Amino acid sequence: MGSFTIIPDSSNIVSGFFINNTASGKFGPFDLVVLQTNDIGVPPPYPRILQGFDPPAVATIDNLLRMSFGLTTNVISLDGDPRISFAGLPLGFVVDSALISLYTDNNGSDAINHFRIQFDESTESGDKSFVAQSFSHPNSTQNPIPSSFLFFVRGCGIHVNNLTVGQRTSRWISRFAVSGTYHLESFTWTLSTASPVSVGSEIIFTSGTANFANMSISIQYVKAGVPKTVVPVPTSQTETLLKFLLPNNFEDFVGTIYFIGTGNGVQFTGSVVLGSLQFIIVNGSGIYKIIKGQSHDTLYDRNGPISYTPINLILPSDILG
Amino acid sequence: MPYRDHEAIVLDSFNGLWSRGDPDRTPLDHFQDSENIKHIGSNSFGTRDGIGISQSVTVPLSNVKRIYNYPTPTRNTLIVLTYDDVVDKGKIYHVVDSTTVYGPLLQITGMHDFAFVPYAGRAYISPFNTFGAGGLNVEKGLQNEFLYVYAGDGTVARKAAGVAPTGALIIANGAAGLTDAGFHLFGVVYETNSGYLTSIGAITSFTTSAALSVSFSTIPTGSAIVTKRHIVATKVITNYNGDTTGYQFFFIPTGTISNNTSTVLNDISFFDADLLDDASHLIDNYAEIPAGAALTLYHNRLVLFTTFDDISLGLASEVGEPEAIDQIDGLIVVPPDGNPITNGQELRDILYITKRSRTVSYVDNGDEPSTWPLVVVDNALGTSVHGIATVLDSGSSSVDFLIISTYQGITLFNGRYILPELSWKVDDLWSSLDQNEFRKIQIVNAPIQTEIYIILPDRRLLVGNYANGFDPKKIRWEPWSYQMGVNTIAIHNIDEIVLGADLV
Repeated sequence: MGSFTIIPDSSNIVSGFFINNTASGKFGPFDLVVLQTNDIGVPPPYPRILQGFDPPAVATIDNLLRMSFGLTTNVISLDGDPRISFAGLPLGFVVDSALISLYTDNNGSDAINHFRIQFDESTESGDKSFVAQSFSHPNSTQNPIPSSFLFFVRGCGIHVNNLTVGQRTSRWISRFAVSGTYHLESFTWTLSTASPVSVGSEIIFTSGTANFANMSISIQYVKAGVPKTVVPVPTSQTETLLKFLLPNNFEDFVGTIYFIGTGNGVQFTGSVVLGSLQFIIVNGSGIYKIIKGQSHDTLYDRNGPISYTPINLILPSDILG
Repeated sequence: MPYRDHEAIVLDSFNGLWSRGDPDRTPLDHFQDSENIKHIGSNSFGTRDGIGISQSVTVPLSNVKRIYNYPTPTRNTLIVLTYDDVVDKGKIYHVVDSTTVYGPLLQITGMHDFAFVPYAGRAYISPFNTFGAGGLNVEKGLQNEFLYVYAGDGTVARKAAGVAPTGALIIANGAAGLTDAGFHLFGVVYETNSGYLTSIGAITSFTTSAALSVSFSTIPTGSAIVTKRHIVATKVITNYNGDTTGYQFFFIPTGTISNNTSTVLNDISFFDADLLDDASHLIDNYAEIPAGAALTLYHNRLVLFTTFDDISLGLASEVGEPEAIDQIDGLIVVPPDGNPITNGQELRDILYITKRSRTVSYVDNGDEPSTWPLVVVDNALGTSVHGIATVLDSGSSSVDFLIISTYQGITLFNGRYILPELSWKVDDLWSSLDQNEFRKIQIVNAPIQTEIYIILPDRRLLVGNYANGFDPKKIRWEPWSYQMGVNTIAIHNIDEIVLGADLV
């Protein structure tokens, strides 16, 4: 058991208007504007909030403003040590508890403090007032602890609800931080599949001491700043072997995918990053023909909505450019 | 032990994968495990040939579920099923060449597979799906779906067959002419753009006069698929009992209207002796033919198997009229045993019908299909819905034998299953396949390459090279795998192997 702190690595802060401009009540689309990138009234260091409001790094999910951390920048400190990146976390890193804290101010017309903090859609604080606020997690037995992956890519959400029509609130958000406790699972495993992978690739984990029968598996990735989760169906799941095919619902994503094992409480509780692979072809399906004498495979490449550049799968240099 | 005491073993040939019995007893000229190897000539081998994209279009077809070779009168093309999981629809396209795609010709909710036969340039398409039954997968026609026909020209497919005319004719004596005087029944038959003759409708009685012709009006018109209409008539009925469909109808030789617009046909003369072309068989035809899980051609008839409501049922058409299936005389009922019919194939004038572990045969005796005699061929071996190999780009299966995937292995069939199986060397690999997923197996035989290509349930290809002989001990097997996985195969333009890949 130890403590972690996600430390800001940037002096950027963001503020914006949360405005209800729909006649239907509830909360409407946010009219988000970066007011300034450095709040003079608050001393650094500030949290790194990805790229301000320029899409896609900060995204709204279901009318939420979500702020997330980078996976490759050094933002997390374990037990007071120098910061490391998500990719540098030790094997078996499992978040046990977490607390979001931030500093806000209100310059708008929302006098009733419809301000909430979220870890995810199902884990939300009650209405908060202004200035220093915090929200711990897990806050109830009903809310599972998000995976360490999601801590980074989801960060937290800011949610202002139930503004009256035309009412506007302005938030300056700073001093954003996530802290908590963690432990390291000691079991071992091996990801036997090598990058790159694509839809239909078989992913194989073999166990050293891990018991895969006590885990559920999910695949997580970040597309345009928005965390996504895909749940595969294992074709084989025993104590020592976990196999599944990458399913087809990665949309148009290309990049790193993370395999997250979530314990059922027998072996461990919480989530462990079991490994990551490079996902290169979203959708290689289609009609092909065998070409006599050709020494490589050329597949449809649907990395973008229009481009269908064939890529060579046998020569790695062609893949990696 | 010093190496000098070892005697060198010369391996002058490599004969492929050996997956049978104790790995330690693998013959020296075989591998216990191999992948992506092709055999060249009788002794050489190398890396398998690569694949390339088959479509050079902006939006190539995606999530391909099934490909069939579709020979049209002018060229060799493909007919392809894709599946859109967002809207749960199967969509069928006609891929004419690398840059021309027609379609979707047909879109059906929940269609994950289809059966297909080409006939006279047209494509007959039957949507089917896999259903669970007692823990086993059963392939049968989609509920409330039908056999479709596609003209091959990019127009959308439509239901095969067609509805009969409705309403009634107004019949009157025409100008001076010649008929056998007396009571007749008259009716109308539609002819569709695929040549199908509908059942007889608008049946109306009229008593003709000897010296007068007959004139018809209010002749019904059909839908846009109707291109001609035919007036049919009975011979003189002396004691009419009121049963309008209980009499034999004939086409009146001069009673054809070559359009779908005119409602009048005047001054038709005919004698009963002129009524030679029987139309009675049309009365019991299906107006809509229920979808099935397998289609084949036998003696110039279209035969459809395994409807949603009856997994032991075959429906055989009239000779030369693939859409004319009699609801009584056209039925072939394989003795029910809880297993569905999976396939049908003609070989040397015999129609072989398979279930997953049974094979029977029927012989066209010149009478109605319902009278054809049944012979049990094999009570242990059968195949799956795509388990009979097609040959080259013919879109059909027969050479002088069939290559059939059974639960026991890839087997030659020449009227009986020839054992040992062709896949004898890779028996353990074959036995490890999930029998409940055998519907995914599809086979093509490429004599020019001297290779058999088999889609496996795990989305690999099993290739059997028979350059050294069509013999279980001489054939050389190799699994081929691809980054995207393959799930369907066809041969195109004589010897071009076409693969389809879907999404998992």
